[in-house]
Amino acid sequence: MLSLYLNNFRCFAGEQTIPVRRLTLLIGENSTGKTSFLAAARIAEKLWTTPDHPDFNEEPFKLGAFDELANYRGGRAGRSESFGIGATHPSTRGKHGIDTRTQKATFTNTNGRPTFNCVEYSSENYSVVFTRSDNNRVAAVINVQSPKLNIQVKKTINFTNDYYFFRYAIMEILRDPELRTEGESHLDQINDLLLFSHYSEPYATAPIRTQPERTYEALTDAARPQGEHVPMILSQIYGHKEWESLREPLEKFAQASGLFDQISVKRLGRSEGSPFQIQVKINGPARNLMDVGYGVSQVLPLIVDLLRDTNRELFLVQQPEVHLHPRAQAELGSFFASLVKTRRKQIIVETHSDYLIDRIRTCVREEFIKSTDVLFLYFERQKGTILIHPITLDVSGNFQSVPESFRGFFMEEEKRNLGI
Amino acid sequence: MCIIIDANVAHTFGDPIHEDAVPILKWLLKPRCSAMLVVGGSLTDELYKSGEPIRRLLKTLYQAGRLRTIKAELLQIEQQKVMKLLKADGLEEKMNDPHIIALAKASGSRLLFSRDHQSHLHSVFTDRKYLQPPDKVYQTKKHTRLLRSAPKCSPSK
Repeated sequence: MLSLYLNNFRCFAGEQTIPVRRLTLLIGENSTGKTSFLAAARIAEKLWTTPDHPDFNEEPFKLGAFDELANYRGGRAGRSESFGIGATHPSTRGKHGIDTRTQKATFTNTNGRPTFNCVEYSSENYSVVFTRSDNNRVAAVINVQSPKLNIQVKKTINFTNDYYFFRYAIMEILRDPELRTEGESHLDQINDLLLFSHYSEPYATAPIRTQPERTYEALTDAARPQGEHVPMILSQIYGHKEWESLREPLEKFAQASGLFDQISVKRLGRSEGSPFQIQVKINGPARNLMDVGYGVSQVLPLIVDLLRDTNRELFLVQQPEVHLHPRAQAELGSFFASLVKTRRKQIIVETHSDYLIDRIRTCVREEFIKSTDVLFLYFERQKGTILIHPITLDVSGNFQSVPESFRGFFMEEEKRNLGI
Repeated sequence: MCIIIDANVAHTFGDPIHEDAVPILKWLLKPRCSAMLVVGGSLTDELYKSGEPIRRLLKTLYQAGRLRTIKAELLQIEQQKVMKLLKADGLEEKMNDPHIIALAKASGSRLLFSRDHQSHLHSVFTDRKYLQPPDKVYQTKKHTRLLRSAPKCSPSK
């Protein structure tokens, strides 16, 4: 993802296009919209991966009904009648020279639920806009920048708000005989632009991970935001080739963080479906996950999910630092930096940890990762809305374009501490 | 708006804070202000070794994006140029702070807090031959007005 588009979504008034990079850190006070941003990023990504009606209450982001989703300005402005979410992606897999693709969806209120009102797909030269009219029919307009061409597709389709509606609509539109005549030379590019399923499903973690258990049953391994699946995954791969490729970087992180030295799975029966325990070694014999610090079980699901060699590209992480000592918080910074450097991952992290932030800046200064791979988004509450300030790093790890209000509390606090 | 703090005045930020350091502290810690402190190379080490109060100040400013660190490699290049000029003026042996002039050149900072009257630092700093435009030296709280007119750092890459 290159940028996220928000229009009157929750606390974000008006239209905003916010850049994101391989490693993006969301920072700012509580209730400034960082989690809403992560939720929007997932919805925007899923608009590409599944042309399904997005679920605004999928774990871990419970966003509510239309009234909680549309921006409320109060006073005369009241609540916005619609809201929009979208994203721009690089189109490295495009066959017809399209550099970036943008998809924006606008939602309106239908019986308290948000429903598609308009969906726009665009690249540098093409845009296709589907709009739902009052009589619930969907029409499409195709625009070509160069050479200038505007095609109003005559065929309209009854809007069903169903699974794969837009895939169906796209197929119908591409079959339109007039389009085949008028826009024939552009059909391949339009087809390329509208192709779905180019991106993998994003993965979002909950701010609090599940509690550890002394003994696990071999149940589900389906990915869950609180990481309930991770012990099962570890049990499944234990002793196999994948375990070896996971164990080394996992233990490397754990040792550098001071969390544990070694990790293993102890089966309580002979079959693969037997109950099992997760054990870790810290300066001595193996101990049950329950009997070591809470931080270990909190960070383990995150590290395992990020390290596993899955097709997931986008990770949305909420406060990975919870229950961790500053040493481990700082090490998380190095861990994220190494993932960005060595694997095909994009990570957006909501954090309050100065140790994590400082370490990432150090990684840039020490040239471990490029400054252009890192972006900080500072969320600021201002006059009833939220402003998002992108802050970049220079090659020395210095913040650039810092708004004057940035970390005002800390400056005031330091002055008070100094008594000046 | 940025400033360089010479290691010889680092103790003035300690406990108790010297009255000459108070305007600088207030200025650097003022919310909604773009004041910055510039450090780099051996000066960073000198300041960090000058005690807990200045270390804490450096950390607060760093995290607020108000500490501009200049890379050692860049400073090295600038310092070599300064050394050439000092040699031509016969000041090579007398001036032991070429790294501070190099820091001003590399960062664009033109304000220095220093009380080093012995080593020609002040005269070199205010000499157009070395710095264009020349630097200004804050020595006591009487120079508080210099903080208001301090130029911004040059943009970093």
